[in-house]
Amino acid sequence: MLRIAVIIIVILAVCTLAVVLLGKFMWNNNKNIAGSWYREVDLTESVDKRMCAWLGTETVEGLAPVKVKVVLDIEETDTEALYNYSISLDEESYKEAYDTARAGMADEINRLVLTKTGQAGYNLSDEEEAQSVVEEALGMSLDDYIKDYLPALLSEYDDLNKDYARSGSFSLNDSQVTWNTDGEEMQETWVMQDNLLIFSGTTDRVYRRL
Amino acid sequence: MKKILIKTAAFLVGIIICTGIISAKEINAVPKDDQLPVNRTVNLNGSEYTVKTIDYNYSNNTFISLRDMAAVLKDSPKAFSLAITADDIEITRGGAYEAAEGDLTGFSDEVLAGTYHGETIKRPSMKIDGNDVKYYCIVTSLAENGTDCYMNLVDFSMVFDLAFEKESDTGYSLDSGKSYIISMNDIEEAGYFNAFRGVVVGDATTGEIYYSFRGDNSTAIASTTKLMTYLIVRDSIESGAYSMSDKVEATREVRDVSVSADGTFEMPVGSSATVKEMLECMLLPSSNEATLALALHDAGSHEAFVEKMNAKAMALGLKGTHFVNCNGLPLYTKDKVPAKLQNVMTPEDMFILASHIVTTYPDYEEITGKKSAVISSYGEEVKNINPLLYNMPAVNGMKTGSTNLAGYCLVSSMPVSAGGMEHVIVAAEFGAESYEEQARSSELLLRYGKQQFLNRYGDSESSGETVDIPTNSGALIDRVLQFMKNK
Repeated sequence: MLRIAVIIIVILAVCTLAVVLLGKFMWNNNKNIAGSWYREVDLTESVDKRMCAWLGTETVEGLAPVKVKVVLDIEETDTEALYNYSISLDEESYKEAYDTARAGMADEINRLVLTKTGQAGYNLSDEEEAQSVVEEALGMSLDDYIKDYLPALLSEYDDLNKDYARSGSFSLNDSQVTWNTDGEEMQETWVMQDNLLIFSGTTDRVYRRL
Repeated sequence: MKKILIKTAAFLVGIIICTGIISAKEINAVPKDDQLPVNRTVNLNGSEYTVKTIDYNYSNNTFISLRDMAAVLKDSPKAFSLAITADDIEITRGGAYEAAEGDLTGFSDEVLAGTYHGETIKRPSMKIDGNDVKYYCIVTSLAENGTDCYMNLVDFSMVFDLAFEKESDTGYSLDSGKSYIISMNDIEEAGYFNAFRGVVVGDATTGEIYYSFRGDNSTAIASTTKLMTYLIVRDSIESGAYSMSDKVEATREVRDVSVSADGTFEMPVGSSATVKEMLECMLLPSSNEATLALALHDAGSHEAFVEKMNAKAMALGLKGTHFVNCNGLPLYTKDKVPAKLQNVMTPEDMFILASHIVTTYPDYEEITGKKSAVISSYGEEVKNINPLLYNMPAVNGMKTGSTNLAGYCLVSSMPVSAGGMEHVIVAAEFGAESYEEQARSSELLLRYGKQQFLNRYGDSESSGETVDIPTNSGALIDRVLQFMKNK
């Protein structure tokens, strides 16, 4: 009788330990959450609209995707399951996005010039020649003309960053995360699998490890 | 006693009823036109003047006193002489004006405080530089200095080549040394074309479109349809099917249209006129019966002619075009619930059609440029209803149109020359709200077209524009084309 009781207790203890270990290592392993994560925000549609407004067209052709990175940095604290965080727009990705937008606009301008000069009886060979003519006519590079004289294709970095930037702390409790930002609390669910960190609340955000 | 009381009561009731009727009349009184006199300041080259203006129906729909502006400009390069009576107005640009009593004094406080119900806006008998013009004006004896004529501010700017810069709700500045440069981008941004179904202007000789708004919007075109009818007839003449001097007979169908509300003058069954006379009737007063007569003469039946119209549209690449009849009138189908159909084109399609006529049959203007024609076969004189033939003497065509659905439409053409080049500017507008807007919008478009032409082929002095970095796509293309022309 005693032996059976001991066996049962040992089995229960092993199971409990296994569940705890599984919970720690196979599902949300809080210790691995610290570090830098990023997600991509697609601004292509907004750039497309600004380009069309200036060109006076309804669509543009072949605009490459214009995306920026939003970075989430997470630091452990001395308290278990409590972390500090900060979110900001990655400046390098913003510059690359702006370069992509300007290159797209230059392509559209070259196409427009090629079409209109053709209608007027001038036969430029290709878009490269069209760009050369535009730059000679303006007395500056097409990229400078787009940067300095056209309406902005993207909002200024500081203005765009305001849409994303925040910092504070958060605590984890099983699948629930409680954000604390400037004294305000917000709850969402979270899950981490492979190299993805997913928050689900009013919107879903999927971060990848940087 | 009782009788006295009854009589008194009846008298009092009568008084009350009469007072009520009079009050109701006052409460319900609607002025014939809502005209608001406003004193505005005009700063000309640093000197400030008080000028009488009338806002017609709405604020900022401003009409300006010709007497006051003649006094303002009398010592400037934009001076003009002015003679106004109740029946006639004569203006000579460059002429001398002697300021009269009451000029530049503004409306009195009494006028400004009162309720003004003015004369109806109309096209008075007016000559500019000896040419009859047709501008909508307000001719009134509102102020103390007798009869004055108030002209729409935009029309005034175009006629006198003056740019009014708005400094405030009641103040403008003027630089008599500067030309009135039309910016389609500014006009579009202000929403001017929002009420139109579409507009386009370009160089018909090269095919280049300078500006288009809702240019690919397929819209009802009313009697501007007759330009396609003209083209089909000209093509047939060119191929030898018949000649301009051939006789065209009026059938019963033609006679029925001629005596309907859509007819111009009666064409009895069996009567006839030459092809040329029928074309004059079609293009000047927009005779629907002459159009039908030409269609039947050309193709044997109306249906066959309409097929030719649609085939020609396809051949010209007019993708947004479809014809249901030869003349642009509404047409009801034979269904149980009849549909009301109208011919449709896009403004850019119409530009292509008009440009094709300009380049293929450049003598089109021998008919469309006439202000009147005598139709000897019918003993009638017909008048051209294109207002721009009067307001812009250089204009030589092409066709008006109006139905309830289409609004007031106008396709116009104007030869221009510079740098040894002679081209034709074509403008088309569809959906103007009134005859006034039909003329004004078309004049703006043609003047803009001329500016663009001079940018390309003239020098910057003749175009009147200052050179700076283009800030919109249209201005960038202008700059590139000008650069290539000068290279």
